[in-house]
Amino acid sequence: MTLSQKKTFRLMLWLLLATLALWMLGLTAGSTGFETALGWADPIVQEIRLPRTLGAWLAGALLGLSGALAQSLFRNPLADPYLLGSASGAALGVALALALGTWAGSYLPIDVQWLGSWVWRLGLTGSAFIGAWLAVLLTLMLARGVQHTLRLLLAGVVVGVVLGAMTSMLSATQPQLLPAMQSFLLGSTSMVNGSACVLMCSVLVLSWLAAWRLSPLLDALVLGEDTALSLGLQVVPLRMLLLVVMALCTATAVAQTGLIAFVGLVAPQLVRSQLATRFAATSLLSALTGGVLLCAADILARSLLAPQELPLGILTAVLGGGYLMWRLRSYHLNPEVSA
Amino acid sequence: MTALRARQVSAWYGAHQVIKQVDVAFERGTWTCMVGPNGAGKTTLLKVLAGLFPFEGEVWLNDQALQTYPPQIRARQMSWLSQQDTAVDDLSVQDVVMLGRLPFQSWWGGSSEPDLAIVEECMQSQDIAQWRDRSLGTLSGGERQRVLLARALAVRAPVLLMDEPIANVDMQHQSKWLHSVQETTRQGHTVVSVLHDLNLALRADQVIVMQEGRVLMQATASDPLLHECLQQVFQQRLKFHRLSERWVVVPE
Amino acid sequence: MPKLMLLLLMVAQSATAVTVVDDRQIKVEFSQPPQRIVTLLPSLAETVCALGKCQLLVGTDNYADWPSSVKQLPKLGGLYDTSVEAIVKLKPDVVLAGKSSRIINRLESLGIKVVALEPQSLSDVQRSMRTVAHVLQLPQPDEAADRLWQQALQAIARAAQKISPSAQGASFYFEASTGGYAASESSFIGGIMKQLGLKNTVTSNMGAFPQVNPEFVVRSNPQWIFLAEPMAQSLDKRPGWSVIQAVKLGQVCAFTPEQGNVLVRPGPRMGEAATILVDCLQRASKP
Repeated sequence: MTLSQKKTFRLMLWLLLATLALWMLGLTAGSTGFETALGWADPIVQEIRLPRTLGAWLAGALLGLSGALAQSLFRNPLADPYLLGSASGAALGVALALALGTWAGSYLPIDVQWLGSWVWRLGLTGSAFIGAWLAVLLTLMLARGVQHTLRLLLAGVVVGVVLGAMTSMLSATQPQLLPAMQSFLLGSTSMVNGSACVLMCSVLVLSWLAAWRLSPLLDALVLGEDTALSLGLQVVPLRMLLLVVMALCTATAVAQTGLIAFVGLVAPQLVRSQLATRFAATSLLSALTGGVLLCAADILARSLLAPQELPLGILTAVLGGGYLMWRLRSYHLNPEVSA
Repeated sequence: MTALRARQVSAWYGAHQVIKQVDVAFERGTWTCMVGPNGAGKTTLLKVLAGLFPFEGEVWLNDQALQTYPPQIRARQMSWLSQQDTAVDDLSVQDVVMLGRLPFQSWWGGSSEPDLAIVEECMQSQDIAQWRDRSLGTLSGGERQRVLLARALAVRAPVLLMDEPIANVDMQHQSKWLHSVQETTRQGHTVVSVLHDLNLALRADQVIVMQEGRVLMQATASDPLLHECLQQVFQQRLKFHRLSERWVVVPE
Repeated sequence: MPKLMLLLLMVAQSATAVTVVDDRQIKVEFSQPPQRIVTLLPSLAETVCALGKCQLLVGTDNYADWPSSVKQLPKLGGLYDTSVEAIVKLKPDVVLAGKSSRIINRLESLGIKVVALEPQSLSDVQRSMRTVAHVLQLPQPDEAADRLWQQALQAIARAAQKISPSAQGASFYFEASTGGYAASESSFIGGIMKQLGLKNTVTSNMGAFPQVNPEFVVRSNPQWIFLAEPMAQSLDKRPGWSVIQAVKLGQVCAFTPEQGNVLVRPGPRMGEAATILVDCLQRASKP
């Protein structure tokens, strides 16, 4: 086994152990802090703590995988899963659903009451999912395909800003939306149930398999697009496929747990700071790292101020921001070491 | 036997025509070097020959039109090397060289034993085997170029197209590169390179002089007409000297 | 003698200058009773009218709708887009605004008197009523305000009597908005529920509107759940909530948007708020 294979194996082992430990811990984290009074078969443990713990891990894994894809596709360590506007799309979807579906709808000047019940059946989850996808579609249309990564990035920024403005306008004219929007924007696992976990797991497995199959493209892109083309790879269609996988992972995670910052950005960076290896391994390790990160953050969010909950996004922002600050500091001290 | 040929090839950057009805041919087992001032279109022509740039006209690889090649077959016939321009250099040296074997690997197979042997050999020949586990980003510019060269050689393609392959490489390794190229052509492979260094270029079997998108001349290194052409193209700022059996060019 | 009378009269006149301390702890001075009043919170408009000075109102915010005469007044904006220009045009003697209104400094710099009040809990309501009474310079303002306060409390007590024996003293969970924000004992609505004799599962040490772990609600097993109408439909779909008493017995009280408006107005119509809550209890509970 080569050195990097050994390192990969070791890191994977650590992450799996951490995962098991966190899952056990998550089953004991409840509304009275950590306690083992409730048995395994207790419905509270089965229907609330288990789905939340697993859900947090799965959402984190989806974001970690998506972040690894983003950073590899755009060859940029600052890329994150929300690059193509999926975050603003999901937020707008939720805002519209709240405005149309809840009592605020009665204040709208036009008659969209009929839309209200339809939207409510879809639920906030469905609205967020659809919103994220529509935003990515808009970005792809604006960039006229995936030919040029720079155009994609710019289109993503534009879509993000415009949709964000629309969401702000909606919540400015309907201030009753704000508390509910806040809850979505900061992220939470409180609505995650068993079927959500099954959904996220299937998407994770399918997406990782697709990323694994397509990983030679991402490895070859390290040498530049021309070289990748010269090696016989169909860069443009494969890139499109990988972007679709990325959008799927992000939309699924965001729909279930809201907007969670930093996990998708930090997980792949953490992996790369430990070892340099091919994308097939990096993507798996990023997913595991993301899962561990978000699961740990969720357990903290549930137990620090029990029975109150801290918004998940705040914890990931503090932890993620702290990590980035530390990296920046060590970058200053050793500017020759590549980021 | 012609390995690679271009006939009446033109190419554009937007509205600006960078290659104007060019005719060139590259014989099997030869090393041809393209030289010329900045903006002559050398890199663009090389990209056209590699199938990486849209063009008008005809390009023939082994007497078959380039566009009719399926991407993977073409990849096995032609190897491309250019300057690297990426930011996230997180592959190990061995992984990078192994990428050269991609055209021979199926989607579900990994690297086979022969692949590993070829990669090992290429790393040894370029003196980079001791860095096999190091990340590409931790190497210097010149060291990185040797890795990229090893990657291009790992394809073992009959035709090798190289754009400024040794711009930052030290003299010792420039000499090694020269020997690699000569060895490759001895084995019957065809090499086409773009070089700024005229001294190295004059070591090639054939030299092509380009200016403003046109091929002015294709001749052997010792041909006096070639020297005259080069003088003209570089505005009389060169001085040619004969040193043992080699030609040496210095700025005036 | 007449000169002395004149002097006494002048002294008496200046003594009617009133100083009011608002919720920002800022003193606002009035040399005369205000004749033109603008309110930027619906509950403050209701308080002014309940104290009998409805005719002094010249403008309100978009949401004020009681009594119906108030709906004819010029509307000056919602929570975030209050029009400073429109207020200035009305030439008010005082503006009664919520503490978190962003235009207070702007109005004051334009020379307009602002009294900022933001009742959050039940006891805040009594205090804000007194402050408004002082601003209006009613004769015996504290007594007038307290009368209003007692009326409201009595209305709540009357509503409380209508609660059937099975629902008396029941435990409940009140969700104030989507996203899991619960109303605790220290919130306004929590205070009313307390007056009705009902037990809030969310205690006041968590703040007025804490975000609680859904597990907490399941474990505290409330007998009643109050929340906004659209959310009530999917209550049993929330993970683990199907075992809660309230969900199993169908003891869920969903209020409409109009009712919701009344429930969040900490003003003299508290009795109506209590009535809405009790009516809901009666509809859904067993005899």
